Amino acid sequence: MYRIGIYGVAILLTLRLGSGTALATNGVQSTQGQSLQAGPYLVQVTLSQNPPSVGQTFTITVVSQDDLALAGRVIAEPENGTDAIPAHANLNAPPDHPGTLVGILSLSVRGDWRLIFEFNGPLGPASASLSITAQVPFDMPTWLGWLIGLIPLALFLWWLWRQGHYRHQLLEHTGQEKPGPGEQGL
Amino acid sequence: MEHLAGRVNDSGIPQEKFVPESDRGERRLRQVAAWLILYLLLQAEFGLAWDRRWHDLVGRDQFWIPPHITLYSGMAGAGFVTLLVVLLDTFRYYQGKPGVDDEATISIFGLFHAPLGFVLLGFGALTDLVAAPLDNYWHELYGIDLTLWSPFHVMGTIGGIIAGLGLIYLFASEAAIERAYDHPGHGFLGLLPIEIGAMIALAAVMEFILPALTTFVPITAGSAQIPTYAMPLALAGAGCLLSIQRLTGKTGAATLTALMVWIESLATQTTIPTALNLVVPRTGYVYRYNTGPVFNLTIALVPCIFLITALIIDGLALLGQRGKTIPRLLRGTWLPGVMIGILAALVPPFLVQLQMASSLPYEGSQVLQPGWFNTLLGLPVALAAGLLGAFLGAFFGDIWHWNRR
Repeated sequence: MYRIGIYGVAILLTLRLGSGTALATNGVQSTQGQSLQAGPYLVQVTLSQNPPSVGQTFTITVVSQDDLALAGRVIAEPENGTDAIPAHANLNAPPDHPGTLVGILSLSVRGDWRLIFEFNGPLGPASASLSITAQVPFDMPTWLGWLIGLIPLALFLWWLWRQGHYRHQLLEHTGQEKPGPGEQGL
Repeated sequence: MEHLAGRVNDSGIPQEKFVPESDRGERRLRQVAAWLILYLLLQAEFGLAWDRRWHDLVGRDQFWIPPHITLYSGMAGAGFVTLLVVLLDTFRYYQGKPGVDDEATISIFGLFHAPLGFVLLGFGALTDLVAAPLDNYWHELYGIDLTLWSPFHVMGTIGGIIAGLGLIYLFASEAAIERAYDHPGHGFLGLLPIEIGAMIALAAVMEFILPALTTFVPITAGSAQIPTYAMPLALAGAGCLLSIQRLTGKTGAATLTALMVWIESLATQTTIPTALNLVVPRTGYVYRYNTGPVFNLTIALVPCIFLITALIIDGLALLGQRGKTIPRLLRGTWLPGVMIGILAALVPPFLVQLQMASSLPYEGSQVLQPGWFNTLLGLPVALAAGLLGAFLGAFFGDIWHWNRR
């Protein structure tokens, strides 16, 4: 019963994390666009989730205020204190909206990120950046992580102690207190 | 347990009549499952070693990367086969099939009945499958450069060790049953095929710790740094080599197992750089420091520690077998434990020096270059680990030699 209880807690916690993720997916939040000046280009940047949730894709929409046909890409670089590697996404123009660019990105670690937009258009190349903070649905404290992580070790040590009794029984029944090394050569 | 009290043969092995024909179905089921699980766990182990280099050289930005798929599909496959056998054996138990009774299985929650090895395997696989999403979440919270010492890496490692132990229990119990036949079949070099399976599994346990050596960082005590990398080497080496010698009861088994570790290690160290160079550019990733993988000569040569220790274990066994008088001081398990402790502390820094003196590039960290003074400080830790490993090796070796559940 004890073992079932412990695994019940672990499974419930996993489900809790899963349901938090699901809520964040369903609760997609379109945000107000933010104006950015990238060299000669004035663009409006909108994130489908702001703040974005870690591990989930979100759409970045860039609209040229001057309706210029742009090409480009976005690089998400982790800020100091965010232990991650950069993420990249191409920004593509839908066929019927030449002044709009759309890209899909996913951030791997919670914390502060800088989105760097690189554009190329009729007025030459240019870039701009935007700071965002990636969030998680549930913050698991370190002590809770270790408490869950060490449960199998505790069970293993308990089982090892039981095996000591089992070994004693085996050796008693076979009359071999200590089986000698090398009963038979190869 | 009563069956063990029957008559014994010349080697002291409880002897029984020929295994009845009807029992062969159970033997076949357990042995086929054991070999299948061995393959799946070796695949998972390769995935883990690949994943470790992937994290170092590429970084970690999502769960579904090729090393994770290799690792977790191996663990999930082993878990699935285990579940299948537990359900089948439970069904056969209630049907009263021969070879599936209370002496050949253990009860789980008073409902399921299966051999101990499968129960351990199931628990280990379940532990890893619970640890995987939690570890992913932990990385999302705390970043990509977590070492082995994060809660769910430790949990996953413990799950892997438990699954590995389960597999050895499985092979060992089948070997114990086969040894009890009137005319046990003899395979390669006088070893039963199922004993060779146990040797491969134990070699895999030793190989499992090699890529993780550099995560055992030194303990700082004032201005001194006490290295800890020798701990896993001495613990696993002494434990596995002594236990295989006791499991099989045959001289030479430890040396053969140590040679298997070396072969597995060379194969891993050769294959992983190729796998990385093949997969990284094709999946759109880049090496984070613009340098690709190199052949790690140090890790490839570390198994020489196991080989030297195995020769000592088998040498002592050979002397005993030939009726030579072994000085009282050298009897028991302490000598291999002490020897592997000394070798585990001294050999890795020597190999690093050797590699750095050669023209081969060195990819490892400072962990294996502690300086000779600090190396000596780490010697007691290594000796303690070697002795503990020797004790555990003898402990499990005795159980594995006799246990038929």
